[in-house]
Amino acid sequence: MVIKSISESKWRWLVFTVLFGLIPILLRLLVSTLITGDERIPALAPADFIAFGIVLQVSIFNEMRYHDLNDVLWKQLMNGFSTLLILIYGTLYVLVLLTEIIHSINLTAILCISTTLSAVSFLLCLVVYDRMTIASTLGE
Amino acid sequence: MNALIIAFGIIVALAGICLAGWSYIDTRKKYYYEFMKRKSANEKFPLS
Repeated sequence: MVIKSISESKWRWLVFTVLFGLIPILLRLLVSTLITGDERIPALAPADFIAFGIVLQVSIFNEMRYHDLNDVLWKQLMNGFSTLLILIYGTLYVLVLLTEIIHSINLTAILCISTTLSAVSFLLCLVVYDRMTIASTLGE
Repeated sequence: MNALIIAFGIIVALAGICLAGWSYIDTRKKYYYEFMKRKSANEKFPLS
């Protein structure tokens, strides 16, 4: 069974962080599918992916805070990269806001980058939770 | 401007993928050897 092979903390993270973080994206997809007519809502928006990425990165910070791992280098690398990603998400959000007055900024490029970066954030979260699970099982 | 955003995004995404890969391998190496050292009959290496 897939559910049995996933540890409890990972399962909780998948439901409470990933699913709740995906709510804006899923709702936009649902609404854009339901609305028919000339005026349509775009199915994907960079702001939703930026919010999802920030939620994932904050969950990494939270998990690091409450797990006392001895591995300082790994912890510093993950914290540092999470901070960098949060800064980039902030910058991307500013760019999304600027597209309303500066039309030369390409919104599609920002959408592509924010989607890719949120996928990378998801990958990093998986790796972090993997280590936390193994470390706590072995009693570190 | 747009090219700069795309280039920077790709570089950060690649760095993130590399970091995730390194962390995954490091976790497997570090904790597998830790487990092998203990080698208890009841303990299983948690792969999930």
